Amino acid sequence: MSRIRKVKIKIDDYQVLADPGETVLDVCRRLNVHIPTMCYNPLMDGERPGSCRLCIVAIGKGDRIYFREACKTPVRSGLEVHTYSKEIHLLRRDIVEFLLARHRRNCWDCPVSGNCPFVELCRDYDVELLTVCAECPLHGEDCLLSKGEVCLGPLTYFGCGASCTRQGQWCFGCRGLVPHQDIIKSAVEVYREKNIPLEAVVERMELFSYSSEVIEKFKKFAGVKE
Amino acid sequence: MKTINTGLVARIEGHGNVRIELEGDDLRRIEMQVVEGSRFFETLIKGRPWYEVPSILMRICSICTADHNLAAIRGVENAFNVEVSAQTSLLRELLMHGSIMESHFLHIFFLALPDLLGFPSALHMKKYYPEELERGFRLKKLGNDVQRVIGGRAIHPEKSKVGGFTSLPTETQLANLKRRLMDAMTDAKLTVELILTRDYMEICRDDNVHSSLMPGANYDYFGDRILLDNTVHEVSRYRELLREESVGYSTAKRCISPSGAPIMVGSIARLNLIWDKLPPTAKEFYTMSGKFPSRNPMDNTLAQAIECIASIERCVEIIDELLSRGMKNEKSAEVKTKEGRGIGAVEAPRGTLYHEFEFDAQGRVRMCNVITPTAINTYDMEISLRVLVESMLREGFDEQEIKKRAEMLIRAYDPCLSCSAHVVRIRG
Repeated sequence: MSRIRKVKIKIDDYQVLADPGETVLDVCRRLNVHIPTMCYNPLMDGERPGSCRLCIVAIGKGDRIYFREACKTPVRSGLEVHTYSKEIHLLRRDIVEFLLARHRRNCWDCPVSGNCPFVELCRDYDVELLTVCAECPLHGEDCLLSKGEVCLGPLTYFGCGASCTRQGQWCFGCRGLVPHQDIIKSAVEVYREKNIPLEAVVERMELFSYSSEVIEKFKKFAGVKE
Repeated sequence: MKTINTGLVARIEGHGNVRIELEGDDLRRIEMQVVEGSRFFETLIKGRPWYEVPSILMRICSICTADHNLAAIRGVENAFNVEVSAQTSLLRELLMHGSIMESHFLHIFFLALPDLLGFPSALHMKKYYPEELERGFRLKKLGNDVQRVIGGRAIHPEKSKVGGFTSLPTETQLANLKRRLMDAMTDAKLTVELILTRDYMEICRDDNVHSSLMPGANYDYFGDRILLDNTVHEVSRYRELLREESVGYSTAKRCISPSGAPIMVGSIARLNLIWDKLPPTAKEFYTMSGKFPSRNPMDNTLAQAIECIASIERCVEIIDELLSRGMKNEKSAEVKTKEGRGIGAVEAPRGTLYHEFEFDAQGRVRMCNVITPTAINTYDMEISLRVLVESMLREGFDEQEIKKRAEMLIRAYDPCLSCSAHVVRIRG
């Protein structure tokens, strides 16, 4: 059996040998070079939808740089790959925002319970449009809202690891409220759905953000009078 | 006339400075100035519902968070006549001891020890006293971890609320904690011995009144009666016993006893008044040190180290009792709101802390009053400074030395000036 000739490629200025037929993502995974992915799952061998586009890398050098998905790009001799730069970071950040925009953010009913891959991505790429609910392990019947507690989880910035709700204490909103229309709208819906009095929510919001625009918007959407 | 101004005193919690006015060789005036901005906590809590009160008020301080939390909880529970279970009170005591250890070890190792060992800061000690510094980090972490297990977080315990706890620590967590506490005993004993080997200033004060709460059977930090030297009073009379006054140069109020003498609270006052309740090892160190009962504020660091030993012993006892009862998954007590007022007093690391609330029928705060230990201590600090500076002037020390020792004295009190700021001055 003749030995397969290896292909020489460059990843982040390091000379690497790769087998022909491998993709850039395969080589990077083998060498522990971090590339974020959403749709790629190593257990589904061969199936590569290439739809999330998070694994985008820069290929080429000098003026001739192309951005390609690492999971769809096969290796070839002399390929130069850059897995991280400011431009790639910004591109990936945009991609996370797009993915998030299409995502149904009703985390309070999600069975992933606090181990959400999106949360990690949003943290890495400074996307701030998630709430405490995304990190909170409680969902369904365990959710504090289902128990009738006035929890500010659906309105508050994530990042604290939901340390209060994990211990059975409702969220105070101490990290600040997310001033995003969709989030406020969906929060109003969930409070209505769980039969939480909206006046009580407004009162609790006033604890840490007394004069915030979020409260005004919330009042508008919820139809709460002064 | 000559003025000596220390500038902002380093290595204390908050901003304060000392201003000394001299006329020739005589002391004309001495001012302990707290220059923190006002905090408005007592006002911003007005109109808030009862269940938010502990969570808001514990943010007064970031060192003794559990104490503010528990004082507020006790105030609310007294107002609504809520009875809590024995398990809850044991867990609360444990939380309190954790807070005491964390605060005391922080002060001993990182704020006061550099003074005793002659270094400008704790970081400079690293070369000569690496073991001591590491021990300090270890012990402070232990105090934080007790709070983390019981309260849920190292600071601002969210689990502890009116009526009980939202979730309880597991028995394994408690057993692990007990093992670590028992290991820490040697470290704590070495700390007392280290402080005892050092010489420090002697300032003799006999004009002040020592005050603390009267605990139950053990050396714990809750109580419903106030000890003022050797007289016992009900806690509801605290406003008569601590006459609050404000002075123009400081944003902190000060407290004066009914007889007009300054009041001292804190570790020294507690040890002087209730030393007979100390657990055995701590009592041994108390008698061995030969410094107590003490009227010297510089002994505060030593007193704190002895209290830490007591806390470790008590923590182990409490955990033993909890484990022998078995942790019961009980619900927190039900609260029925009614009109009324309640006072919650606890012994915080720096002294007695009072929270008082008045609620309307819906359970909203109508009035709130907080007296922090440092606010009680500021007047006593000023008198101590006067005694110190007068004696130093008699002995002919220079300005640099006076500044240095004045700062050391302030640090020995372990003031938390940012909590003490209450006064607001409205111009116009």
